[in-house]
Amino acid sequence: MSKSNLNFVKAIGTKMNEHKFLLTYKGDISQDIIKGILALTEKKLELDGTEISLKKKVFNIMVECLQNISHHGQAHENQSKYGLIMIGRDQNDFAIYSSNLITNESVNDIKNKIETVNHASKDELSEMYKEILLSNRLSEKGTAGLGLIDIAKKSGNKLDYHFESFNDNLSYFVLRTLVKPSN
Amino acid sequence: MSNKFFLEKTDSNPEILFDFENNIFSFKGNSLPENVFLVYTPAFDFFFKELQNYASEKNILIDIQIDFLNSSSVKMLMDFCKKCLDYNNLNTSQIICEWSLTSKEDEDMEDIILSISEASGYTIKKISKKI
Repeated sequence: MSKSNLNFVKAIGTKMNEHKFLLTYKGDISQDIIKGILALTEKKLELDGTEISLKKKVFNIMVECLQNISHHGQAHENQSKYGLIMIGRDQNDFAIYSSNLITNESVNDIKNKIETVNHASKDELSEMYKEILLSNRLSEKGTAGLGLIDIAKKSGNKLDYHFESFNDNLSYFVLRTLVKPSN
Repeated sequence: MSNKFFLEKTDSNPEILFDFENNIFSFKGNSLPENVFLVYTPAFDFFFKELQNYASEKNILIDIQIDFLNSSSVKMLMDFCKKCLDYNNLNTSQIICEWSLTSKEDEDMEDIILSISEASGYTIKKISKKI
């Protein structure tokens, strides 16, 4: 392989430095992969000397994002489920990015859920959380419908999101969650 | 038939021990299974079935040492607490859940405990362990 063909490696490394990414993963999201990503995240945060409460917040949000992808992510044709997870760090602030394919029919539902969460105060989020905890039944997959509220509660910041059409049936869903030490 | 349930701790589920013979009940470890039913349903089914044969008037103390849990585990534990409240309302012996906080100033975990207590109506006792 020629040297120029390997330049992309340096380019990716430069981009990761620019955006201060601690960890990036793209590919199949299975339970075993999730375990591996979480173990790596824990180690990275430990080596970085991140304080325990902040480390737990980042870890918790990672789990909810990864399990959301595993439970609700869609696969394109015969390919495995696409999932992307990245953690960026700027000083003491963390940004957790996740992306996966969803059905076009679910775009509005997810958008409405995020908007509701983003417009809620801290107390309102707690009330919503308790209401769902009490009223919702766990789905057959064992999901409680609490993921986005849990992420928002732990983050203490508005959730940033983006949808982009992939084809007639599927769209990309991108979520960015900020975690700051003062929260 | 044994009146003891034991589930070994893994990366994604806590150790669960319900030992009616020795009166030891505990959850220890992290809880982030992909499917909470697989972990908790056999344990809770066993617990509430054995409770029907529990003749003692002694209280049942459940020691919870869960340091991290995902949102579906929170839901599962809230349902468990609701059933504990139902039992307590009908029996002399009481189920008491004590949740040990292992990290200092763990507001998120305190918030989870409060949410479970308020949603279920069942009070979980918080125990702060010295770090």
